Amino acid sequence: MSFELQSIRLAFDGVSVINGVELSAKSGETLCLLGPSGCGKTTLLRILAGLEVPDGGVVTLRDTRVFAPGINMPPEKRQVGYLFQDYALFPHLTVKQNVSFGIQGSSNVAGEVSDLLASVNLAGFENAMPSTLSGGQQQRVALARALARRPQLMLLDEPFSGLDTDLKLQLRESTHRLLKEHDITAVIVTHDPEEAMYMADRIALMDRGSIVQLGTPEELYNQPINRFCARFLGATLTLPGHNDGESIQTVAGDFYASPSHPRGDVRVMVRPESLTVQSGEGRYQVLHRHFVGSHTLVDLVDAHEQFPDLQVLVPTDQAQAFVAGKPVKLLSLCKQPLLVVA
Amino acid sequence: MKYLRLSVYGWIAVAIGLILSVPIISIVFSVFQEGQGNWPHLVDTVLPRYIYNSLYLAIAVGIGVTIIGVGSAWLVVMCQFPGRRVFEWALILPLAMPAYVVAYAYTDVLQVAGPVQSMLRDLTGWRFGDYWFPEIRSIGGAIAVFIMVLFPYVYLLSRAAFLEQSVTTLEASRVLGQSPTGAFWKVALPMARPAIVVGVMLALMETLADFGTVFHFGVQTFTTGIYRTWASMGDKVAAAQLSSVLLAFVAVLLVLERSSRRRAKYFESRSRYTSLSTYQLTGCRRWGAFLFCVIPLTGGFIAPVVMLLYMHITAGHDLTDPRYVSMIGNSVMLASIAAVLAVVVSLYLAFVARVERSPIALAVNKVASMGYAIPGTMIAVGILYPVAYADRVINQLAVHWTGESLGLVFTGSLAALILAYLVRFMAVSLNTVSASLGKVTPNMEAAARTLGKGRFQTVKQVHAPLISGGLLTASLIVFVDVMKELPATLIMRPFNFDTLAIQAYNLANDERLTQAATPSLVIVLVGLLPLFILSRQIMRSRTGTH
Repeated sequence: MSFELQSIRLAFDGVSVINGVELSAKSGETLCLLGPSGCGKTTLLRILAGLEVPDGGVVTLRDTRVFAPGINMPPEKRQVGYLFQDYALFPHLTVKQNVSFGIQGSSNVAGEVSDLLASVNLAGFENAMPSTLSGGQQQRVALARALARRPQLMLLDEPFSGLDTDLKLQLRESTHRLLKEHDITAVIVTHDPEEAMYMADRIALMDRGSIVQLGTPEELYNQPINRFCARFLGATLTLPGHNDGESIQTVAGDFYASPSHPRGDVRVMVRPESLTVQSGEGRYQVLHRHFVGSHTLVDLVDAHEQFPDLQVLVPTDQAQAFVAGKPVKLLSLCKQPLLVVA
Repeated sequence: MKYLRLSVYGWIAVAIGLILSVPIISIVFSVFQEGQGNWPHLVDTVLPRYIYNSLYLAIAVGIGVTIIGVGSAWLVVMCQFPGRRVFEWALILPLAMPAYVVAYAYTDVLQVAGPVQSMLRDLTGWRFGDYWFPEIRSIGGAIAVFIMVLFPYVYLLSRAAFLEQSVTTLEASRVLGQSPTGAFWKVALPMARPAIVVGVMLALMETLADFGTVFHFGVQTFTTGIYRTWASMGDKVAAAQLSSVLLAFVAVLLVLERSSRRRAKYFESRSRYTSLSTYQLTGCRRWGAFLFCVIPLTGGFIAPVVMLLYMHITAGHDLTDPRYVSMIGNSVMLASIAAVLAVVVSLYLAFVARVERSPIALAVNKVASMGYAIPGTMIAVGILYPVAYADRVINQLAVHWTGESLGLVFTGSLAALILAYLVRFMAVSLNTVSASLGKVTPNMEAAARTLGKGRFQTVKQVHAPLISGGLLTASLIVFVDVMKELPATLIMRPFNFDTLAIQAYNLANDERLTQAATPSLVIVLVGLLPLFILSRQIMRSRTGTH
């Protein structure tokens, strides 16, 4: 189910939390709201569900205006699924009763519940109480409960935040598959950029109540519009450089200059994986080497103590050459800078 | 101005808060009123004695309940000795005993004509006056009764505090060179201190609020003084002014209690406590610990219950007597109305505080739950004083318009009495209801809404089943507290309207202590009901530590 938010505004006690957000999604699309805590992403999700009433703007679900001046459709009428960060399972009801909570009265409830529980790998847990389940199991019950009403728009608030790493990866994959199999439009709130890139067709990066950048994961990762976006999506390295209008010269080589880049002394931001180190005379010296598995992190210091220290990423099988004290030189694998700032 | 943004429901809550603070407001206002001129006389003659007696009682009871309450809590939490598992829940049983009931029981047994002294005289051949025997009807006797009945407050709070302390802090102190005793004095006790202070303050509030015991023992305190000024001298203003002095004492206790409660939270350990390692006591220490727990338990519960049973069986009244049936009916009616109203009002206030994002709503709940600190005598005077004024105004208007007087409309009405109960017992009910409502998280409400349930269906299917247990507990506690309540009922009841508590008081007043055992026993039995719930929670808190 497609949706559209138009100039949504909301303030709590005079403090603005959502400043005129515009956002829309096509049917079947998975959209991630990404941002630091307190940026308003959960509030935006609650506005979509009807759990929070904005001060102004228009909310459209498919082609129905559910919020506009004089209109406010209550949450129970909006036909959206919502997965809460704390799951919000009803502690006095069994797993079966929780899952069937939203579909009481329809025919073949028992059959639907067992199908749903099977689809989240919880067959046989019908009569368990939520408090006896593990965190991952509770999350899946909550997911099944939200899916029971066959929502065409699914809202997920930090769906994997309370889980340990292994489980998180597993559930992320199975949730993604479920959403795509049922062709459900989804909005996922998260503060984890990797999770957002994994799940999303498009990401809306938010900061202080506004959407800063909206695009595919690749666009956000490779073409950030400002330093906040560049840093939020992944690690960056900053190289001092000089832009003469033709190209930007740095210690790692020359980068393409574009008319939009500032001139003169600039700082060039790049992703760590786009830099490589080579043995031989250069500006930098190896300080330490940290083996972390498939890659090795190499700490570099400027021999002239002028440029800031750097930490670069080297495939482990090539890392043997870099022993402490050895001079090295930096080389950029990519002529296109991530971001150029003054 | 955002603080003043309240919905209609919020303003109704504010109005409820104002009604519940009528006694305090009217007592404070009484300071500026002219009475019948008894006030200067009271200041010159009895006020110093009231202050002296109340302070003496408070200090002695405070020391006693601290030693017994903290000591027994530490033994039960940290040591292994015979009977520990029973003491763990049994030490709260004295809470079922109203102090005045215990006072009646001991007086009957220990007075000159009582069985103990008679037996002593029979055995030794002494006659009255030949020997020394402690006089139970004295300030010392009152102190003993209060300590035995009120120490469970300190026991409960310090036990919880000791259980909450993380084992690792105690272990750290041992590794850093402290003996078990040293760890107690230097680590466990200072950490539990805020909780202990809360317990002691609650015990002292009850001490200052007591009327039945001190009245029976002839100890002149504020509560008896207020009653006498009101009932004998008939000076409403002077009674209210006397109450305002007591209010100052109560305010000190209340401030100490609330600030300690905040600090106690600060000391709670974040980590879930693993099983506490307990000390295995050996030899005479085992039996020392046993005696330390069994003596207050016997004094505050077992002995009085046995005495009451004995008295009731030998010379008690017949409960099926129509007079008793009507008294039980009156008690149950008052207690039920108060319990239902208290829970309904609590539910409303708790819901409003939850929905309104305003500090005013929270402040209302704080004010509404202040009555537990205020003695019943004072609440009665504080309500009757404005009510009598209202009656006078109504009658003047009635005479003016119709030429006829309406008599007393509110004075001596059940409505005024029930308002007094609500003021006094709103706190327990509001706390219990708020806590159970807290179990329904805002996200559970939101989940029900997104799953297609409207507001009404959400309340019915999510809130109702989750909070019904808490509502029942709250109403049960209020019910029992109203059954036990004496001073407010005594002052405010309609003419010739007797309850079980009043009957016990009247019989004791007529020196028919043995007969007073019958209504007393009924009150105690009913009082045991909420303790079953409390003791179940106590057992669970221990098993939950593993």
